[in-house]
Amino acid sequence: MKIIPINRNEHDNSEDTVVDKSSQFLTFTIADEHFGMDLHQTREIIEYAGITQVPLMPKFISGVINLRGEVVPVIDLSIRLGRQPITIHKRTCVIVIELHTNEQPCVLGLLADAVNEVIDISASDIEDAPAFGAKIRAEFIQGIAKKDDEFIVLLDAEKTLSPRELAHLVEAELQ
Amino acid sequence: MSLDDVLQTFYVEAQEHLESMENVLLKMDEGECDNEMLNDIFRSAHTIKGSAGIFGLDHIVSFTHIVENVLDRARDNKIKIDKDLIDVMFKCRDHMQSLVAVTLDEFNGQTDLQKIDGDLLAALAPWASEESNQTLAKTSTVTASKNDNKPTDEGDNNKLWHISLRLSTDCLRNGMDPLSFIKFLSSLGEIKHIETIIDAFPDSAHFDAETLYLAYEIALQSDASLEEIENTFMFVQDDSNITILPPSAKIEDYLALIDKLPEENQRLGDILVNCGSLTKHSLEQALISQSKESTASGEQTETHKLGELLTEQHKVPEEVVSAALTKQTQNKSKKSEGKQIRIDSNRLDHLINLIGELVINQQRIDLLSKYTKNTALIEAVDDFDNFTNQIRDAALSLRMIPIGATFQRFKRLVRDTAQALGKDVELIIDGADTELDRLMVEKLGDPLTHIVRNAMDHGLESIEARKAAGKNIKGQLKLAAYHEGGHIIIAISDDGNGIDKVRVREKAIEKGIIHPDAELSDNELFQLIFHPGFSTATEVTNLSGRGVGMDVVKRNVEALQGSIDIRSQTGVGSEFKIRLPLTLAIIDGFHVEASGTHFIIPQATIIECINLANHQDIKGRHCINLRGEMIPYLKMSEIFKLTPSHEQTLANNKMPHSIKRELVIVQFGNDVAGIAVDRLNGEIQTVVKPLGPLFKALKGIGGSSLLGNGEIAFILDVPQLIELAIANEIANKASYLESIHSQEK
Repeated sequence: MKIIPINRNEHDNSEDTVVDKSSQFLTFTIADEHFGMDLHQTREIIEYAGITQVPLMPKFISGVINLRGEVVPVIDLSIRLGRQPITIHKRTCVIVIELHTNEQPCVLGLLADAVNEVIDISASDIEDAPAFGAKIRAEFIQGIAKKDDEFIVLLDAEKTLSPRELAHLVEAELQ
Repeated sequence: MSLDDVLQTFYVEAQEHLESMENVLLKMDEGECDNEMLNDIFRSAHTIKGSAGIFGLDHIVSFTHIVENVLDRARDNKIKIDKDLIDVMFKCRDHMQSLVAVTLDEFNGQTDLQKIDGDLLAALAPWASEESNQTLAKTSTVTASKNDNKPTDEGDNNKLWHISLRLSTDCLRNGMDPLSFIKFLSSLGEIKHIETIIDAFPDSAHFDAETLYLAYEIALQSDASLEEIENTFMFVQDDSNITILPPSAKIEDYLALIDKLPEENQRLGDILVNCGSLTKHSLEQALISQSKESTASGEQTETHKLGELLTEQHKVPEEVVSAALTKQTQNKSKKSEGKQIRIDSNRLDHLINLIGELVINQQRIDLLSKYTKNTALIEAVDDFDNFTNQIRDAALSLRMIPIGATFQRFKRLVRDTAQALGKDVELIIDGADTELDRLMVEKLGDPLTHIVRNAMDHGLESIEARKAAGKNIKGQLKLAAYHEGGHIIIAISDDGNGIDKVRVREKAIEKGIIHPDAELSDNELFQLIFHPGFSTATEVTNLSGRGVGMDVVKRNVEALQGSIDIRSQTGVGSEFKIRLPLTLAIIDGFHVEASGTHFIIPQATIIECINLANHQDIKGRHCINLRGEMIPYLKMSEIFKLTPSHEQTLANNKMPHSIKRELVIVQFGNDVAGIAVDRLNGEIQTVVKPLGPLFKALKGIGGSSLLGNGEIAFILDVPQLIELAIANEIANKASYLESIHSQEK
């Protein structure tokens, strides 16, 4: 008896997101490329203040940080997307995201050169990812949006940073 | 408390009683049997019946009643306890358990249960012939003196109990319905008469629907004992005025009752007469004698005569009543000894998380206070340290429960399985007091069941085979739990036939798990049985042999960050060793540093720390000679391929002497090894922060932890680290592989 209302709530929520036609995206820059990520998936942005490397990890895992008592893995998104490792500088920041792919929420940090702004992009302004030419695995891209004559690659965080896939990559590296 | 909560309480209580019933039955099964055990089991059944009656769960009451009858007869030595009866009792217990379980489930699937009900009652019948027991009432003096209030031979009137109920006016508010007590009484015997007394009813203006104004005088014809009847009112007896007069009560008792009750004496007297508890004549006589007593003291002798007369007429087994009373107080004191509070585990986890934070903060304060060099402050912080430690230990102990209860449960499984397989197996339990994290205990149940079943089915031989092999026909299965180097070991061993290596190999090749030419060590071979779909049993029994199970075992154990080892010798037996980490929220560790990375070695694994500079490597090997023993060691910076950061290198170049080569000697199982690090930073309490699914494949590191200054340290998993070192050595074809192996052996 008690479970039903909870279920209903969840149901309502999922309907909400379907109904909502324009979504908010957090845009950021890595090596002069603009990326966007669904704002719902991002939790906070913090200043880069050093990182603890985890031994034997593949390069795309930069290490772990202490986020107010929580140990959070940090991903070098640039390497994950098949580019050069990010260069750490004064303005480097960490975007903390929260994924709900499995039942457990998974908190990850992403290294970015700069975080730009939060923008509203309506569904109609999002174009499908090009079949090729983006130099990023097509499934990682949720769509491409255009703003001020610049293209923003909207990343599908759940695919790009699927904890399961990342764990498999780590496993492969260790063997 | 809502009714649901009360039901929940009933359920939990019933579970406890059922568990204790099972334990006693198991003991009986082993051949122990005395009156105390029978009483125990009777009490359990009875309490379940009693509380079920309160909730109006008639199906439980009626079934349990029969079981209780049989037990009662056994207690009175009217029937002999034999293997068959114990078997039926086991089944009855299980049935009671399912009956209790369905009550929470809105009586689902009751139809099936009714069938079982019938079957079991039929099975009980040979022991239950209740009508014929009257003549045997005097057989056992022990039981008779304890709680036998059965009549000797004085006719119906003597079995007549009188119960005077003046329940608390809050009774209804507390969720108790007087009607249910009366209903329950009728399950104990026949209610001959009820008088409802409505004298307390106020006028309608003052009437409160939730207040109980009714009082009852009940005449109950029953063979039940005083204890049984009293138990009916167990839940209300504290604030109610309940008088139970046994069939053989003296007339004075009735008079006392009449005096005690608020209602008018004559009226009460009439009521008692109506109930049939007293005859009109005796009442009149008694009342007269009473008034005589009060008016004319000179005639006391006569009164006494009457009293004596009455006493003679109604033999009162005084000791019966007092025995019943002592019994009850004993029961109460037993209950309060094991007093427990049930806490929502989430709240407990929350508390432990908070204490984790407290520990981290305390370390930070510790660090800061040392910078100030203020002795008073440092001392105060030290005291604070002490208390934090104590709070931590106390909080953690809340989560720990002994493994014993889990082990105990296997007694039943082993017994039933042995019976089903026609084997004779004895279960030995060792280290039942070993405490494990509650979560682990819960998750261990399944893997243990699988292993035990496998051992019973495939490991232990049949009686004939054991005879032929010249072994004791009673097979031994041992469950043991103990601590070993910062880990908890759960070992399941049997003295059966051992694992047939040839069969395992053939099967693995047949199933395509290994290549026919593959060369495997014994251990690798044994690990094959954890492969999904692997089963060497030629026949599939209903117990095991379907090839599901062992892979589940491995998965479950690994989910607990544990590992499982098998040792087996053909014809001698096998041992499954489950190694579990003490992965509690907080551990005592030793903080070390290697190439600028912080590590924590669990304190429990550490034997000592030595300076590597004082020890020479044994020729060409990563081995030192420590007091005549050869100790292999690994270099942390090598095994984790650590490269010092730029700042670190600069710092080291400035102060090359700040880095000393230190060796931490650790023990895992029976093996000893060294871990070479750059710096020892001392003891530290650390809060284990799991590294998350991303790093699951990372061997040698069990988790992470925050240091006082906010930096992250990695917690070493020593046995994994050694494994990793061995694996690396194999890969590098290095020369000291031999030495580690020889150490390991």
